[in-house]
Amino acid sequence: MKVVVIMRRSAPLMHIAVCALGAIYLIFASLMLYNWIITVFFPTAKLLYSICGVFIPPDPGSAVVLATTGMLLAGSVYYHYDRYKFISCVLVGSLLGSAILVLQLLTVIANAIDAQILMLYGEIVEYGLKEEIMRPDVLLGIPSAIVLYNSVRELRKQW
Amino acid sequence: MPLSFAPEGHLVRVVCIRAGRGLSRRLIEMGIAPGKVLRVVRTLGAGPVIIEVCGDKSKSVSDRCNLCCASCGNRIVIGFGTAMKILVEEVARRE
Amino acid sequence: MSELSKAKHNRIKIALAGTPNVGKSVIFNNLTGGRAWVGNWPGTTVEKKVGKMRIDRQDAEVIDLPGIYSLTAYSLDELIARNAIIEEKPDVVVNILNASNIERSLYLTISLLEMGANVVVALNMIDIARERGYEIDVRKLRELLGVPVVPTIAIKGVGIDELKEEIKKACRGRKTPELIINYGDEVEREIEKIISVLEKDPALIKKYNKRWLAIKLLEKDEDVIERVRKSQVASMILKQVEKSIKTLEEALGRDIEEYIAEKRYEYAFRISNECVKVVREVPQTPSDIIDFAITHKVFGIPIILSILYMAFKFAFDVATPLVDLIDWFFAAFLYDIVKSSTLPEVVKSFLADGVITGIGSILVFLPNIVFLFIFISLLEDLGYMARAAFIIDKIMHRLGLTGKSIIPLIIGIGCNVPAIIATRAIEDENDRNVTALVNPLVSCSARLPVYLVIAAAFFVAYRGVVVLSMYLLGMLLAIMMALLLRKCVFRGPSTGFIMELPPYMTPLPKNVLIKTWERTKRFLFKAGTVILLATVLVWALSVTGPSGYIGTEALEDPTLLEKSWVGVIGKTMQPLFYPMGWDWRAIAALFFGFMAKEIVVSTMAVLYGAAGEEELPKMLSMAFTPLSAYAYMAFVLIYVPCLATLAALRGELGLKYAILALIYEILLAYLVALAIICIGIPLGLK
Repeated sequence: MKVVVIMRRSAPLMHIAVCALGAIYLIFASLMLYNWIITVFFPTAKLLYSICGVFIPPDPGSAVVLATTGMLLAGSVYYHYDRYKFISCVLVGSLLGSAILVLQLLTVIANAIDAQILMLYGEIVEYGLKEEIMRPDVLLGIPSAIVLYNSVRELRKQW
Repeated sequence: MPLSFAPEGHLVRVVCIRAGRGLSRRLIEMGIAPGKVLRVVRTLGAGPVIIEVCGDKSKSVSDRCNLCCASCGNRIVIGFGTAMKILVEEVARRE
Repeated sequence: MSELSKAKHNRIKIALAGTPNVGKSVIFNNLTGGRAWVGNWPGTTVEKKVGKMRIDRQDAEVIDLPGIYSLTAYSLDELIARNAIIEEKPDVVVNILNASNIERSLYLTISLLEMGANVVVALNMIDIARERGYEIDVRKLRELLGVPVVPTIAIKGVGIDELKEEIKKACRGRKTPELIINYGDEVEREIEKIISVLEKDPALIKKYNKRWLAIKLLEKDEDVIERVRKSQVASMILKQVEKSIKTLEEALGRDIEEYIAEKRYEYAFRISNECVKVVREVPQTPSDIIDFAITHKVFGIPIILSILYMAFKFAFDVATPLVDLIDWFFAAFLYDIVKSSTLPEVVKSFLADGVITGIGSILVFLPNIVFLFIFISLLEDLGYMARAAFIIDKIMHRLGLTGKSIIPLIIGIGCNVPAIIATRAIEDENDRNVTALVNPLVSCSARLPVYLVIAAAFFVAYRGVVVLSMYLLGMLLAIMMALLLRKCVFRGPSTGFIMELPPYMTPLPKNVLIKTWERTKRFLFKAGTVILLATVLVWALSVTGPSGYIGTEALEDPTLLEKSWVGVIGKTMQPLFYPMGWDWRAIAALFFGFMAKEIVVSTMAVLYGAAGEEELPKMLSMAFTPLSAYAYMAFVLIYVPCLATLAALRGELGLKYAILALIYEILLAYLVALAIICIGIPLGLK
């Protein structure tokens, strides 16, 4: 009930977009967590491998980060009445989302370099580049980075 | 009331400090002494507090503190145990 | 006196003093070009940083004093700073102030001036003050303090040249007039009385500033009292002091120490009031805005967990190529070079199987440690650590600790040694002791090699979870032991903590790297000496035995190996570990792990005849079962702090507590390993 009231009272486009992004984060986070629980406790059950081309790795740590980002972004609507509090949540949330994007990209690069190095051993290692990139943390990180850029600009403007 | 129970965003004045010699001295050096006005920046309920030291002019505290708090930058984190030993009273309503 | 010692005696000394978070290290680096020699203040484990600076074609010594708020005798850091000024008699004390927080910084300045030090003030961070909307009247400040004041922005290098000029000028001639704070007629009267008694001992007056002595005596300063006791007229002085204190406390109706501190603070406040002008009103700084979400009741802890996860991911996943590179370098490249050389067999084995294998298996983890330290240093410089302490404080309180304890525990994930040294920042003695004693239970990076190797051997699919479970187990045990120790051994209410909350600042790459390097240096030092010696020792004990030299074939042949010293040690202790089902080689590895836990891996590599990280898991899977391997991991987690950690414990807490840590950890380790086996077998997890 409360959510509907808030949105009816003052719903600039930015607020809704951010909230939606947060919700998507939360959804993917729970999917990743679900996959992880299955791999650890029910190894024989089937995994939810991918949805619409987006792979869902059973990574609990990443799930925590995504969940936190989702909470911050979606929760920012709760403070829609106070400019500073709203920007705070959005800023920190998008910062986390962008950070994990960067981190995941670094990991991909590291794995690529690693494969080259392992060749010195005469070892050929295969790694799924597609699986490493088409992940929620990477894909969602892009809109996150955009949000980050915008909120930092907002902050600078009035200060 | 102890500082750890002070409501967020409010201004409080230090009434007394129930601590040993070393701790009291430490607090005074940080600017927390009986009569000083503090702003409770953040509090997680009954727990640690982040405060801002505002000086000790008790008259027209509200306007002075608006300026002072803005440019003071005197933010201090006070742990739970210590915050329980600092007794304060409310001064004015803010926010 | 020889020319050299004469030159040493006349060497100019400069001390840097200031509150924490004021930019002291940056200015230190600016003055000395980053060249510093790090040691310890004599008799303590507090770090002493000394550098060199050129003044008038002479080399001057620059000493970085610990960050302090005042010069009382209550805290170790303050005592060290004070004694450094009294004993080493620096020619100039550069006092670094935080322009955006002048009041607090001025308290220290006033204390320094009362001591009679030759002060030059560096007013740092004026850019931040300007951002906050206020200007500082530097000329007025100079006038009120009576010392040169140089505005600086240390991070950008602004004002450093002028600062160097003022330091040079101050070295040539002392111009600081004595600072006299009027403490009120009654107090001043007593000060005069005490001074007149002090003057009876000319040696005392010569060494110290007499007004400072008198004031400190009134403040019941224990260190000063000790110094005065050495005087011939000690009893007269102390009697007068006692009388004065009594008179004043009656007249003022309150504790004289508090009164004096308050008067000093008022003086600082008055000066700051006269010099600071509010020019622009600013609603809230960006730091405050960010802080809202970070210190949020609901979001705070998930954010901490997220950051922790990212730290681990950065330290392990991103560092992998470097790890593999180092592994290849040692285990394949160098190893093959030595083995195919024409050196005598023993020397070849010594180098290849002993030195290279041993060192290689440790350095392999260097990238992980460095990356972790980089992340932690980044967080520190950013200013996040203080917020983390704030958020965690409440939970910590239920464990009987304070929020400040979280910082050493996080550092402990990198290495226990700097973590234990970091506990010094915790004021309450009980909290500090418990945090330090419990710290070895936090999985340090040295244990990681053992986990990774065993996990690779037995739990390939669940590798991440298994390693994570070790960290969690460590944390769980740390919490349990903290509660236990707090309730039984270190009783007493927790004093809580007070910490300044610095504004968020963009971490400078240079500073982060310097910090990381200083911490990594310690690890490398350990690797370079203890581990190298230990590895060689293990190798030596493997190729010799009670019956004399066995030969390097022992490393390939298990039956020969059994006859070596290592075999003897392992076999002797084997019965103790019967229920765990570990063979004598694993036990021997544990034995040597006492020196440094990284040794466990290298010892196992030598003992199981593995040529590198790749082979070891294979060898291990033949000697353990998954259950016994898991129990082994737990044992390595908990048993006995490594030699370096023990040394740190002894340095910080004293021999008694270091031994306590040793004993409780061995017992706990044995119990837990036993428990794991006992729980595992009925569950059918063989």
